[in-house]
Amino acid sequence: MSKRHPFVLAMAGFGYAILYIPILIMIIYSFNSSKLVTVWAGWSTKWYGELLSNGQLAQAAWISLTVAFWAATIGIIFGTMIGYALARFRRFKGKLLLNGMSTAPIVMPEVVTGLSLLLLFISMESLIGWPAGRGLTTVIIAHATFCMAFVAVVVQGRLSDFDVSIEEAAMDLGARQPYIFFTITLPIIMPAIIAGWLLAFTLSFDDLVIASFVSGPGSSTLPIVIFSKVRLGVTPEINALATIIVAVVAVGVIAANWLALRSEAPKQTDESE
Amino acid sequence: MADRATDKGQKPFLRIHNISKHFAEVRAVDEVSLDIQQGEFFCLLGGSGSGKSTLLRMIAGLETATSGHIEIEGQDVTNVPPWSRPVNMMFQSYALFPHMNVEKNIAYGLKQDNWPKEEMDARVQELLDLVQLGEYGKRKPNQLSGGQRQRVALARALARKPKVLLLDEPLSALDKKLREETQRQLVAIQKEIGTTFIMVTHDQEEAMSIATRIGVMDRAKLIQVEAPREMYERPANKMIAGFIGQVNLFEGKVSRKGNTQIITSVDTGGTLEVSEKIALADGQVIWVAVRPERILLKTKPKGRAAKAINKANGKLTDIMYLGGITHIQVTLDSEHPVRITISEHWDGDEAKLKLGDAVEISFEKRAARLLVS
Repeated sequence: MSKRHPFVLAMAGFGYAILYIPILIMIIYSFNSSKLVTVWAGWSTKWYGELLSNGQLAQAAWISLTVAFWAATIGIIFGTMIGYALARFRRFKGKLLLNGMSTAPIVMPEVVTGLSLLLLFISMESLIGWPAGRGLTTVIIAHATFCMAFVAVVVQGRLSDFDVSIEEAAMDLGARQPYIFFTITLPIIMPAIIAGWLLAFTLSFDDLVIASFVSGPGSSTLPIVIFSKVRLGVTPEINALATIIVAVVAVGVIAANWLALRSEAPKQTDESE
Repeated sequence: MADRATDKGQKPFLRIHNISKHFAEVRAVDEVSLDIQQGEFFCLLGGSGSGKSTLLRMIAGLETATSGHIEIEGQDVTNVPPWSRPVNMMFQSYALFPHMNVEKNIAYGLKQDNWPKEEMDARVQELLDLVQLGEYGKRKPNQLSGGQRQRVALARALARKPKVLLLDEPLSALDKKLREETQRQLVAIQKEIGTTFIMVTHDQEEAMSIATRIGVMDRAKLIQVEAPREMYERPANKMIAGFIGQVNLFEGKVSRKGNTQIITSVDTGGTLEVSEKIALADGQVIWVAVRPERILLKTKPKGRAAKAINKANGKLTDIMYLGGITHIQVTLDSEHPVRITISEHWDGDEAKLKLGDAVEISFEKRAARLLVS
């Protein structure tokens, strides 16, 4: 359908307006020169400058990036394993259950995930002495759990339209698993895995609730610091910071989508020689 | 089932003995036995769901047989995993590795066999030359046309010098013109290297033009194995008669008149006679098969050929002129349709034929085949 009906356009416009007007306003106000958030006093980038010189925020940003990097990296390793296994299992009775179990962390209330992980870490500490206290490690582990679930979904989706005869051809040519997985399957689904990594990275970077449960002194992530600052009143600095986060997340999501599209089966050229 | 190739007393190169494959309740392949000689170009022909691809995949080792066994050069390979079988397969989708260039695709199997670098490079070049892709070694599969991809798949499957090459509908993705050209190339390559080829196809013309022998499969069973010409001349049953080329079937009933058996047909309104001698029971229903090009057409029939032998009256209901030949449909007085192909050697004037013309059809005894099923 090439002709767009005005009604459809209006529906789309309304939906996107509700989604993006608040963010747009925030971005505009991050360039406000006034110290008062709600009063417009002309354009300025001074809050971005202030932000850079704020050691506490820079520290939190660094922690968030570290957590997101490791959580996404651990997430793609385990997520790819789950996604591959689920896509390659033949139909059996427990498959639906396993499928649901792999995606449950996505829809589970974050409070539940956070609390259960906290309880796990405390009991592990008293049983085996690791992880000692709450800190960077516990936040990374906690984030890796939901990252895994997202990557598993992305990888499984890519593998569902993967031509199985490609793996069969490798087997026919004398190769066996796991050699086939590493030389054939993994390189082909790599764009999907990278897309999953980017998605996981942005989700970890965003997370407030789970991180607040399992973080300890010295491991406050950026969302935790922002949230505690906002409770004392919103400053234009926070607007600037939020704008940067929006930019980071947008780049991540767009890159992930682009990679996911690219990783679909390559377009066939026409049959003529 | 006459298997002339094995009558020479040679040990069969590939022996498939009583093999079956069941998927849960479904019988995909049902007790198939087949011997194939070295150097044959064998075609497994059948419609979709006939079990031909499953049989091929069992030879490759990609499916495990439910029962029966497969021998190659006298060695039982039934339980040998696919990576250790002296067999390679060319897949319908070609299954090229999209992230590797043409050379690496072809070399993948050689690497598994630990070929030394120089020999491997030489072998890859040899194969590229064989499939006339010498210049394309560095290209990725998505930079090639369908026909070129097909040839890369062929080169890759031949790289390890398999004893048997399996081809799963290798030409189905190509357009008609390219397909005919590729059929010729396949035959030429097979002759050049002498490897045994087993090809699965649903295209009977393809099978007829390529194969040294054809095996027709239907509903999980292997129905008939013959060389193309014999298959066309002596189809085993109605299904094969209609599947290999076109055919007219006249139903007849056997009855006894004095000391001789006669076959009366409601389709022709007369009696049928064939030259082959087959023992028939009185009352048995049989079919007489006649190819469209072997039916004789006579315009302006002289009266009604009542109780005639191998003869019937009707009128022209369709004329399709195709240049060198013309397809004609005649509807007999019994409403039974008959397809006739006439060539320019026909003694009548094809241009004068009109729809609705009264005609007489007939066929010679030796042009007809008697089918009992």
